[in-house]
Amino acid sequence: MFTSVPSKSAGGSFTGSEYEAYWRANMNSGVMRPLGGVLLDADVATVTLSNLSAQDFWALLVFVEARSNAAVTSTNWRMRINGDASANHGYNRGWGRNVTATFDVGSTETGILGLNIPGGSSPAGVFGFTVLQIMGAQTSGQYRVTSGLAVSKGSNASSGMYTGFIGGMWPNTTDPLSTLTFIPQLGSFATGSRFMVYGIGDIA
Amino acid sequence: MFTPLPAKIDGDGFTEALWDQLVENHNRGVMRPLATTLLASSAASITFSGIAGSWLHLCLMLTARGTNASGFVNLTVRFNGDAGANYDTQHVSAAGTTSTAAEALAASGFLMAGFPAASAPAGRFGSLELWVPGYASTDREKVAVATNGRFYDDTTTNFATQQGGCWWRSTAAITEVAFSLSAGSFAAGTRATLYALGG
Repeated sequence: MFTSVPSKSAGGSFTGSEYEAYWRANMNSGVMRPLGGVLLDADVATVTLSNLSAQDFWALLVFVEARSNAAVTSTNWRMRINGDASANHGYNRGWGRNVTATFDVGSTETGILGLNIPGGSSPAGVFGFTVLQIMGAQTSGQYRVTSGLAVSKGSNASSGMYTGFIGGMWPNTTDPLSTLTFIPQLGSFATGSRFMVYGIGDIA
Repeated sequence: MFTPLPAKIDGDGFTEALWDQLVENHNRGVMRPLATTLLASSAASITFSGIAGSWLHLCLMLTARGTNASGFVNLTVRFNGDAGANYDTQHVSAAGTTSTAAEALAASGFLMAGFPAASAPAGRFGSLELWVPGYASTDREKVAVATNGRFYDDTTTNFATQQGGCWWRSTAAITEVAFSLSAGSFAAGTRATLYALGG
């Protein structure tokens, strides 16, 4: 939680309690700051970022830069909340590919479905990108709800590129969001894939 | 890099090491503005240059209006001054109740449509939010996603939102981001801010 910092006069004291309220609390859970992340130095089947609820942020911002090592041009991926592998996640997506706009939905999913990421047959050095928000990550009585933007490319040819938006939810109103697990539909996440979570602070 | 701050009580010392941690957190840990341009008069382009590679991701916020004698103008984003045919763009848009999509391959910039211009109602500016992940990486081509809202007149079929995905076919670290318009200049009051996110 963020607390506005008071002004000081020359010669004023700086106490331990002021440090706690205005610097430590503001910096650790008031502003927007990184909570955790990983840059893969080897192919990995799943990626889990944990210890998120202990850091007490109302909203999270998630960055996914990823590609799969599966021998395809593109594949899907999922984001699973709190390790819940049951069919409890929902999603709605819309995306453009060349001149076609497409929408789809799922209500009994084992994770929130992302937009495509490049596979092992896509051009070298190409990683798909998704940025998404998770609102009410720790709020009791509310579903965990996400929205995000994404772009991906399976080839340099026409119709090889995708861009779209993703909505998702996990219908649990009691358990604070503590872990995010990322799972490719085919293969493993390739070396160089990067996953970052930021916390967005709130007012005390 | 961000490091959570330790607990302190009254009477504890304030050390140089703690100060250094505060400096690092403030300067390279939290999300922070790097630069802002607010136009007092019209300008053909807005450029943020000399971007250091000290952070992980970039975010740009733009509210813009054009001076061209038309209802709207389109926006071009370029990286590192590259005006070659090196940008691929995929759009998905909604105008009124209609959704459309389009791609533009090997273009000379990342294109986003529909910013109000001189014929639009006074005081009307378009908005853009642009994310650039891993901008300082040199092992991958650069991508960006952007979303905008465009309301350059009061016809509901022209109330639109657009999402754009951009591919810049370069592995160079991004050190410069520039905005320009398809015709005319940015009007006074146009504002662009560059933010950085630490790791």
